[in-house]
Parts: sequence; structure tokens; C-alpha cells
Amino acid sequence: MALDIVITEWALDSYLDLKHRQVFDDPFYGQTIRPDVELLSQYPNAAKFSVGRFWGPATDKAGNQIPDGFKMKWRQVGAGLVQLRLCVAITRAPADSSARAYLCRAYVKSSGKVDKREAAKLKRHINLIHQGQYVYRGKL
Amino acid sequence: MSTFKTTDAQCIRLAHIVVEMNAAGLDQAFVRRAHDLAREDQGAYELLELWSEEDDQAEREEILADMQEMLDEADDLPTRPLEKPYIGYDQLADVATRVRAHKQHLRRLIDANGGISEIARRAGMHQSALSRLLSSASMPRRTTLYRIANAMGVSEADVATDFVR
Repeated sequence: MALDIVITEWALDSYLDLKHRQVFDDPFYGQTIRPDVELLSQYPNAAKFSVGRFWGPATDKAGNQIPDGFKMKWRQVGAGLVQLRLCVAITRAPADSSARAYLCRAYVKSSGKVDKREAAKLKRHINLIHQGQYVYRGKL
Repeated sequence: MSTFKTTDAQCIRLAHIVVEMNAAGLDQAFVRRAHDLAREDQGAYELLELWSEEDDQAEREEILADMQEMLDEADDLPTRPLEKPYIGYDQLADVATRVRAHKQHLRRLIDANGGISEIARRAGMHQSALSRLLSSASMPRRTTLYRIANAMGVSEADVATDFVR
């Protein structure tokens, strides 16, 4: 069954800032980011989800896996050759609904400290998703 | 119900962190609100724990700005999933430009009414959070704009914008 890909407002807002900072250009978005994110509709069956450099579980500051939390990863992005991360929550809605992939914050991994802060925010976001207290901007 | 709920051990550690934050001279209302959220939400707790463990002042300010955003969001949470209109990728650049223009206007107002430090204090915001808001292309929260407007004594029309959270 295809997964719905929900665009949370956290994702939209982070993309606005990344776009403003010109972290990635339009070709990179169209040829790499967008097709990769669309693969979520096939999660976990698309082969790329077995590639650790591309996809893996999100971990908290103690190194523990964050349930329902994942990261999509890109390296050498844009003129700054930065590492880009997209946090994704993959959860099941109530028992009679299909699973969903929630796009959460995207960020530049400029240091391990940034990763830890973003992991804390992802936990908060997953809590809010489970509680149904989130804003979304449609589906991909 | 929270998936990531702060544990009993973390709540005890949190009490020590709060004392540390108070000793560091952080606004007491901010510390109390951060404490209340961190007691319930493990993500919020982990931000405060990162603050406590961090020696670098610039990184501490980033963490406090993150916490301020969590608190501002907590004031404004929907009661059920709320759908707002889709914004396509090809519209992002235009939206970001308009958000930036609004924030530059906001910055001029703030400078004319006491400056970032003073307005942050009056608005009950951490200064690093207001600085981050003004420098980013992220959409501001409507409730945050209200607080800033009230802190400056200006009208809603002076701070209004099309793109808000």
C-alpha cells in the first residue's frame, strides 16, 4: 500500500529558510531531493532505503533510536558542499487508517551539536503528530 | 498521549537544570515555562539538558532560541490536524522574499522602538529567539507578532503580513 507523504508546516518553514540561504539550487531539488522524497510512497520497499548513506533511523543525544523517527541524507549539496538532512516521521494513524510519512524539518548538518538539537525537536514533533496537534500543507 | 514522555530521573535532573538556568540570569517566566514543557515532553527536556551540558555561549543561545520556538508553538497548537493551503516548490522563492521583506520592516520598527534587546525583554522572549526570527526566512507566528507589536506599542496593522504560522 502506498504511503501518503504529508508536508508538515515544520518542513515548509525549514525549506523556506534553506531556499532563502540558497543551500540547494532548483536543479538539485528537481533531480535529486524531490525524487528521493517521493520514494517514501514506496517505503520500505524501494531499494534506496537499504542504503545507510541515504536513509536511516534518527537517534537522540544518547545515541538511542527515536521510534518512528528517520533521516534522509544528502552530501556535497550546493555551492557550500554541505550535508543536508530531512527528518521524517513514519507512523501509523489510528488502526483503521493507512500509514503516513510526515516530512518534518530539513536542515544543514553543520555539526554534531546541530544534529542533537534537531533530534530533540524531532521527538517533540513526533509527539505532536501522535497527539494530532500539527499543521500540514497538503501532501506530496 | 506523548510517545516521548520525560522520565522520573529526567524530572529530577530537570530540577537541577532549572536552578542552573536561574543562576545564569535567564528570565524567570521563560525558565518556568521551559520547565513545565520539559516535564511533559522529552524533546523539550533534551533541549534543556543540551543547554546544561554546553560550554559554548553561542550554542547555548541557539538552544534557548529553539526552546523559545517550542514554547511559542505550544501556545498555539491546533486541537486536531490542521490543513493549511499547499505552497509549491516553485513558489518558495517568492514567499521567502516576501517574508524577508516583512522581517526587514519589522527590524526597522524594532530599532525605532528600543532595539532587539529591549523589545525582546518587553515581549517576554529570549533575545536570541527574536534575533533568529528577524534573520530567517521562516514564517513568523501570528501570536509572536502580536507580542512584539504590544511590546512596541504599535498597531496590528504595523506588523501584519500575509505569511504567518
